[in-house]
Amino acid sequence: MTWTARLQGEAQPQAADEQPSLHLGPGRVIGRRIQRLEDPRLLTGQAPFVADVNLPGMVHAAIVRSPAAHGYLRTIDAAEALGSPGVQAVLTAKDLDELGVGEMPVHWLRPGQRNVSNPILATDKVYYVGQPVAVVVADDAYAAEDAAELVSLEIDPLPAMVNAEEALQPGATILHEEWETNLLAEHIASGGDVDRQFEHAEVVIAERFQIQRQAGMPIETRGAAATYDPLTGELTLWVSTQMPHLVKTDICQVCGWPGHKVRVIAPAVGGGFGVKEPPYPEEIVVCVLAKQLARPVKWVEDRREHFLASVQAREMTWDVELAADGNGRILGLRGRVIYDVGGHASAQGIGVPIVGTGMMLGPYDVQHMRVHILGAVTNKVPAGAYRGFGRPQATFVMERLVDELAARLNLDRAAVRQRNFIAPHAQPYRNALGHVYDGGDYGRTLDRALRQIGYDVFAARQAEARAQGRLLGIGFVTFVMEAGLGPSEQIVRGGHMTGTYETVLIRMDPSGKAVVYCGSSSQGQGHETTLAQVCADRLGLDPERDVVVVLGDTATTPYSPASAIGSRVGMVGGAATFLAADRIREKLVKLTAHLLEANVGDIEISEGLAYVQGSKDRALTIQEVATAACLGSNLPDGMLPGLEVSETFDPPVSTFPYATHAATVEIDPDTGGLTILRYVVVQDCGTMINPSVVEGQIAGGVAQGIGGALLEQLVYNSDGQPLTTSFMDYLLPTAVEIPDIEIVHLQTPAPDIPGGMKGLGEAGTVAPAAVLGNAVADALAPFGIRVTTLPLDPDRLWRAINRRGDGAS
Amino acid sequence: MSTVDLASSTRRVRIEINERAVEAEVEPRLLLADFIRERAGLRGTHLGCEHGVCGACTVQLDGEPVRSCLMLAVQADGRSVRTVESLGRGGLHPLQRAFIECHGVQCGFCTPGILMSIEPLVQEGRTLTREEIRHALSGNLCRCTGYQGIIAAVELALSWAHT
Ligand code: FES
Ligand code: FES
Repeated sequence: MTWTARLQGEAQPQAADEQPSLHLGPGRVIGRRIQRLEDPRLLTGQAPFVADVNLPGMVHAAIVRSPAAHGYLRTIDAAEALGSPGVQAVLTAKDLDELGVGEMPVHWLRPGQRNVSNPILATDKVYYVGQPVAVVVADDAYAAEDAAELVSLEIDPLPAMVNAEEALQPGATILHEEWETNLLAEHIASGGDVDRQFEHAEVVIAERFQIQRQAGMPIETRGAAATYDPLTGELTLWVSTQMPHLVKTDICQVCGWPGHKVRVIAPAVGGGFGVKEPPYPEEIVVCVLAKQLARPVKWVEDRREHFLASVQAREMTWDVELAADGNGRILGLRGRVIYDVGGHASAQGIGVPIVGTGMMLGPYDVQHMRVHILGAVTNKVPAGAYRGFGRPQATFVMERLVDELAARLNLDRAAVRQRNFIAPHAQPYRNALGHVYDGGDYGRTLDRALRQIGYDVFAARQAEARAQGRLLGIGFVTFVMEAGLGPSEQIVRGGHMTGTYETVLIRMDPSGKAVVYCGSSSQGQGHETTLAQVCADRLGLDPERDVVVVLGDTATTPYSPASAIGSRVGMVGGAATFLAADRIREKLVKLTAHLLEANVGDIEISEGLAYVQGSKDRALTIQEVATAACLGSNLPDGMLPGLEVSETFDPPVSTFPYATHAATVEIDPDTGGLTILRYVVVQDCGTMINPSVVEGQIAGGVAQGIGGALLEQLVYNSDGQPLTTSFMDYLLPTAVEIPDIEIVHLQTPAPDIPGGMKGLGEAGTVAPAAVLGNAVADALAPFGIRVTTLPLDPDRLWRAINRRGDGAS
Repeated sequence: MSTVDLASSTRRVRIEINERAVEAEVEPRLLLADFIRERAGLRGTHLGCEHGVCGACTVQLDGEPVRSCLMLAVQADGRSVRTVESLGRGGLHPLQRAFIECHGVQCGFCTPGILMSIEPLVQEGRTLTREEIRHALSGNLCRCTGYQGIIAAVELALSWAHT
């Protein structure tokens, strides 16, 4: 029995686990719980990660990073380092300038945004501890690290600015003096006439929420290895990234190199979660060095560096108000959010709060909102993507407000939600900001989740426990998210300087086997398996034996502008695979009809055969048909030889997967420790290509959400020194903290996406902070505590319980 | 005060790795993990933190799981090490098969360390509750799976060990 088999499921996919192995054809492989094709090489330690790339003559880079949070960089003295054993070179911004290497582009721009690119190595100023300043190259990594310590930096320190809200106050220390402000960019997310709603509201809930700095924290750190062939002028880079094609685009742009001479490969990648979304300075630097030294160069980030130099996320302060009538009907939402950008924009600019705020009204039928988004620079690591991309914060804020509204009106929290949900028949629904949802029955997921967790009997259990001095709470949250980033046209107009389409190339040779080429990369999501399933499904093939998926190599795969971000590969890559495979199928059908002298309409393809419907004796194997197509003789009129199809899918719309999460918790009043008793997810992500993969994505996302809600916090002191630079200070959840996650599926295929997938990758992370926030508020209701600040760690909860209602929590 | 130049003095060590003797001249500061990866060329042992918390680097030293990032190669001199590459030579180990069956792998970076931590429990044929399995896994971080598939895989492998 697999763990998934224990989970309750309604609307389980038609093709269930017990299918005999040969039952292949359209609708029979999509939806099946097949085992992952990538597992054997990962389980045997054979999958190559970047750190495993070793080439003859390879040298190793170590990065000299700023020890100061803020200051003028006066001199860099590398003389001693250069004399250290095994050292080959030291590189600084001056060298890059002489080589004509430019700056890292910011990919998400808003009108008036103050920086559109960032230096690769610090020039005259440093903005955060960990900022790359110089690079030392030596024969081995130990020697490079030793020598890096010998590079001496003279920095005139400036006061550090570590609070985004203070950074926007008059008189604040300015980081980028030429801007004359610390405001990177701003945006107003607005729709309807919200102020009018507040004029006649019977209830207004005003609250301030603070969400802490966190990070995706993949277990594999970043890394890059490059080699340059002086004879051909070709450069190859292996890099632990989510976006190999974008890394290549940036290298070509920044270094002025031609695209056909640069190859970027994302090998096995040990988790991404947004951290490995943007191209990074170190990736450019190893390429430049490989060319300059004419030797392969490798750099592997260590964990401490990861805490100092890989994008961080989530930190926001919200001041918001919710207006409602006396029955709990929500009328409008308004307020302000300040986003802590860090030392300079990462590739994503202020995209994170824009995306989060964009779906803040979620499943509720509310047409009035206005949120002013301000992104302020601070002397901390640049902030960027982390799975969920602003949605966990916005959901925490909105869902805490809804619970507070219910409490204020003394109404049942579930009833208030049901009262405000968009009715299924009102779909497609245009929200206040213009997003058009593609269907959803939010009330059904809430009902189902509450049934699963036993909401109706919980109040009695809670009262009983309270009588014994025990603190139990329940929390639940329904959310809808935008997935897939929408059409290229729309997102580029919104300032995101990459498209959102995906191109898939499928090749079949005379053996009748298929190879699927997709420019996305995988960081553990199982894309090799799921794309193989989609291809096999359309072509009557066995996904394990007959299909190979090639990902993440720019030399062999079609250009992919967005790659593995935005919950899009299963949906957009899946749809492109679906379309490409269907075109191969169409050709196979036509050719079979010709060869068997039958009508095209009578040909079926399944089980590795192409045959005349109803008479399987009139059949050819796919191999025979493929051989005929590749031979190129005896083809029907007008058919060209070959079996190679490339299809581009640019999503016509975004998709809107939705879910309800519910949890019960117990808080120990003596220690403030929180135990999650049960955690339930009812998810509709459209068609599931492989339910086991879907469940793995949900569970992993929920675990990250739980970590962010309860444990994880990146801390800086007032000098801008990071205090959390190891796994001893920054606590990731272990198997002990994560409960069994019970998953129920609903499946409503996305109407506008071939295959019907809605996207899922980020969904698990969106709700846990809100769910646990609501559960804690419920557990601590007798103390009159407002839950407004994360994380909900034992210290915060204990203080809240013992100070009784000062809002500390 | 006398100082020792750690970088310049080297020592010869001989470590048996997966039943093969690997001998090399090493600096005393060389980590066992780096010895395994760079000198023995076995890349299945991964480094996730190099400070003893994540467990990705776990190998077995004389049969006991240890963190190879917290040990020096010289400390393992004359001893015997098993890495993930030793598992299931000539066919997958039951624990590996259970991971496949239960979708216990996502990115797979943490996986070798988890296998080497848990394999002795399977070998001993231990009977563990789910809570005990959670505790047995608590020294290994996984950021992808939420541990669900891993716990199920360990449960399954232990149940096989009993039949
Ligand atoms: S690398 Fe050894 S415990 Fe993390
Ligand atoms: S599978 Fe990625 S860290 Fe465990």
